[in-house]
Parts: sequence; structure tokens; C-alpha cells
Amino acid sequence: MVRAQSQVSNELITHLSNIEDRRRNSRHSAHSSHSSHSAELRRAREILNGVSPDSQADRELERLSVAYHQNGSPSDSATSSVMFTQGGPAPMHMLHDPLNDPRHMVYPVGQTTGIDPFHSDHINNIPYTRPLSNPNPMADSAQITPPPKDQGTSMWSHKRPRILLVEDDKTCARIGAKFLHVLECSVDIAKDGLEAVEKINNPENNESFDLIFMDIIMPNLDGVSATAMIRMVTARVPIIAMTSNIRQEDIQTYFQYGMNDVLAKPFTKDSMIRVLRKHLAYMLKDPLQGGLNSDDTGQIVGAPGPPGQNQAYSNNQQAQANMMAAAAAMANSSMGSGAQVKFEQTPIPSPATTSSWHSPGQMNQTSPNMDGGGYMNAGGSGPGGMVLTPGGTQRPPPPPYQMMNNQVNNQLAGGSAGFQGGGHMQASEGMGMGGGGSDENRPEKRQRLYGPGANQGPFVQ
Amino acid sequence: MHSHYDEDQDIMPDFGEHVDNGIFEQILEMDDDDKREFSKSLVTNFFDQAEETFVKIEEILNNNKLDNGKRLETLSSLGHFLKGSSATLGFNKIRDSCQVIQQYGHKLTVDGAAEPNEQVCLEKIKAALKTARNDKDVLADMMLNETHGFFQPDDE
Repeated sequence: MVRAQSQVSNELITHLSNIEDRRRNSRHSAHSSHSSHSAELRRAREILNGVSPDSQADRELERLSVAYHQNGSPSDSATSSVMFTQGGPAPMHMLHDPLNDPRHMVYPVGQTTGIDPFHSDHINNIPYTRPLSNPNPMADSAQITPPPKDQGTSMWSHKRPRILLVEDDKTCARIGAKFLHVLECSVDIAKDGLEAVEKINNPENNESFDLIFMDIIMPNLDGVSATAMIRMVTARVPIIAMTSNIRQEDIQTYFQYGMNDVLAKPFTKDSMIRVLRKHLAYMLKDPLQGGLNSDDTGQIVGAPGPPGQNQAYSNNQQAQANMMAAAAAMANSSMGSGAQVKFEQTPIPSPATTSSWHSPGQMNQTSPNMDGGGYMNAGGSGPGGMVLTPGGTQRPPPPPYQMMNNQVNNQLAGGSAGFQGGGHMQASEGMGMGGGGSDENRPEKRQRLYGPGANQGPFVQ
Repeated sequence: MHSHYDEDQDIMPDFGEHVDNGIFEQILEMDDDDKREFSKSLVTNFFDQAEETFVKIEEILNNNKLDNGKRLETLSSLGHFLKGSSATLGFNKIRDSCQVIQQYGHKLTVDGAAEPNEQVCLEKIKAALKTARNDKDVLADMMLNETHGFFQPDDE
């Protein structure tokens, strides 16, 4: 299933690239070109049709494919489309080959040199508010919150991590949850990959999980597929494979599909502690003793994920910074669907926009609510909870001139970019790529609904 | 009566090859009361789960209407399923039999070499099931027997 999905993704990427090329060559014909260039889409559809005995999981895939289009659409900006035209494995250089990179294979020790951004001394210097507590800690029936004990000796600084444990075996799930409770984490349990994806997509979880432990072999939806789907909506939350299949090619697959680490089964409490300390160093009370050089957090937590998407995203970030002054002019240029991302750029980077895949140095400043906060909010706010507007509701309300541009861009996006969305992935529609029209405007519509009044305050300076 | 983990190292009997003591002790360490509520229910549930899985494996082995490929595939996933929980509890002998079932279900030997003969695979699985059942009975007796088992009935 994962391989098929990968193929489909490649087809879609090819499709997006082709559309981009076509639009560049002849922008005026962009409207009419939908029907004629769906070879990639047809292949993608055939792949999907060929491998889908599991209709439930398939619907999820289709739904997420819509999201993937929308998330992937920023790639249309001129700066990033080159990443896609390189095709297949090209963007993988961002991944630092997990198997040959010793940082993935050992748990680093030692002191952080220089300023440690995770240190509590600096936490108050972060120029945006940071939600310290989970607004819906008991929202989910499967969640068990341990009684707060040993507060004085807690290893966590402000907030206890919220962990999603995805495990089909009841015995393993109970033991894993118990270990995590003893480590003062709050634990949600999902009994298979499908339930995990549903939990991630649940708007009530928009505060998001801090870390996911993911079994690999599960009914309904396996862990690797679930990870690939989760990576479409949240690039940052660390996902740890829990498995006894620790052959090298297995591990390579896990990393390739967006997992960040492997916890060998049978897991022990100590091995879980090591993983938590490594990947949640920013939440530790004393990160300097966390056995972690914070540089590694940036590398490992940030590295995988859909590579093309991430890179495109970061390139967009850079492009946006340059384009801010000329936003109005750009709206009428060839930005097309990519323009919707532009408006999340603010002079002071908000948590959701401090994306720096290309820069491990900046990555160190990961704040807790960067773990999917932006993506998750967006994921929870759209139709079916799946429309992805990077930055989501964390974006400051746009100033009036930008709102005007939003409308312009909506027209551009709606007119020229059917691949941006369209509510449903119907096979008859060729992966739903042709579903232009009204739906793809929704993220921006929602933003206008919130308006300057609903979100607090004027444009953040 | 077993009030602390530290004392358990003296009290915990030697389960021999059946149990990885390090892993099992970690489970016991999670108990927050003298009655071993958590670990006892885990072990009890595991034996129930094991018996259910064994019954399913037996049904597949006896079902000649299914084609062998399908049977082996199902047997492998049943073996994998029980392998996870037995390994997590440290029940090594049962885990090893589950590994055999999983491997031959994939038409592989335990060492990972190909075993294309489906009949051989089914026989190996049948033998592994017998071993696993026996090991489970022995271990369940050591763990749960009302007079000499490691876990005693709730009323002490």
C-alpha cells in the first residue's frame, strides 16, 4: 500500500510539475488544459484501484490525497518547482541518510555549547505566546491521564508530553502506556493506523501530540502507511517506529516514509526514556542532562517527512520574505495557487511559520507548539477537517490590502488550479484533480471569516 | 506481600528459559500495589490471548478448504501477533515458537532461508503450535497456580 502511495505521489508530483510548465509556457491555456493532460492522474488512479482491497483505508488515502494537493500546491511558486522537476529521490539529500548518519544510530551525550534555546532561561524571550496547557485533556475517551505524582522530581519542565501510542496488541499497548504513565506522560492509545490517523485529524486534537509511538504491522492500516498519511498534515511530530523488524532495509523504509526513530521491541522503560529525552528535549526540565545535543533534535525531528513538500515549503518561506513588500504586485503575477501561502508571512515569525528545514541552526528553536500546531490547526479547520493551509489559524489576520489580494488569489487559485483541491477524490474525476470550482477557496474564506476581529489584534509587527 | 521491587529479586522464582527475567521484572516494577494488580492482569490476559490465538491457528491448520498460500499467510500474522505480546512480557519460549510460526508462514526458515514447500511449512507450524501450547501450560502453572504460582489469588 505504501509503495503504491509513493507511486501515486510521484505521479501527482509529475502532474503538478507539468501543470506548472504548461502554465509558464502558456498561461492563458491553463483553464482548458485540465482535461487533456491527465496521463499521470490516470496512472495514479490505476495504481490506487489496483491495490485497494481495504476500502476504509482507501477512503482515508483519497481524502488525504486531497490534502496533499493543497499542501503541495505551494510548490507552484517559481522558487520551489525546481525541486519537483528533479523528480524521485532528488530531494532526499535533506534526509541526511539516516542509516549512515551516526546521529540516528546512537543516543548522543554531552553538553550543549553556546546558548541552549531549550533552556528555561530563554523560554520567556520567545516573542509569541505559547499555550502551556492542553485545552481538551480529557476529550478522548481512550485517554488516561495519570495522577500527578512526584511533581517535585518530574523530568518535564512546564507541560507533560502528550503521547499517541499506536499499537494493535493489547498487552503491548498496556505495558507501553504504563511505562509512559510512570514517566508522567499523558497517553492516547490508537489500536491501529487508521485510528491513529483519525485521531491526528480530529479537530479536538489540534493542540496535537508531542510524540507518536507507532507499531508497524497492524490491521486496517499499517504503521508505515499511517505515518505517510500523518506526515501529510503534520511534518514535525516525532514518529517512532515500535517494531521487532529492525533489519536495515526495514528501518530504511521507516525513515523514508517519515518516521524519525526506531524503538526496538520488546521495548523497555529505559529505551522509552531514551527516545523521549532525545525527541522531546525541549520539554525537559533540564535538557542539558537530557543526554542530548540539541543540534540533533533539529536534524532528526525535522529531517524526514515528505521531502519535496518540506523543501518546497521552506523555499516558499524564503520567497515570501522577499515578496512581502511587493505582495500586491505578486498577486497578479504567476503565483497562482502558491499565493495563498504568502499571507502567513509576518515580520515576526509565528510558530507556524518558523520553518527552517534547510537550517539546523534555526531548527534548534523549535517551540512546543511547533509540533504540528500550525498544520494541525489548519487540518482541523477545513472541510472534513482536512484542508491544509500551512499556518492555519495561527496566522495573524491579514491587513486589509492583503485581504483584497486574498480574493484575487482565490480567483486565480480557483480558476487555474484544479489540482488544489476539490472536495472529493472520485476515481471518475481522475483523482479528483479536475474538481475545480468552489471548494478550494475554503481555507481563505475561513480566514476572512475569522477576520481582524475574531483573531485578536491588528497585524502583528 | 511482595511490597517492593527490591525485594522481588529475592522472591521472584527462576522461570528458567521460559522468561527473560530482566524484561519481566520491569513489568513487575510497574505495579503500584502489593497485590500486583497490573502485572497479574497482564499475565492473565496474555494467557487468554495466547489460548485464543492457538485455537485460531489450529483452525487454520485443520481447514483444508483454504488454499495453502492463504493459510500460511494467516498463520504468519497470527504468529506475529502473539510474538509481540510474549516478547514484551519476556516470555521467551512462547515468543520463539511464535517466531517459528511467523517465519514458516512466510515460507522461510527461522534463519530466513526460503522454504518453498508449503507442506513442510504447515508441518513446522503444527509442531511449533504444539511446543507453544506446552510452554504456555507450564508457564501458566508457574505463574498462576493457586497454591504455588507466582501470582496468588486476590484474597491472599
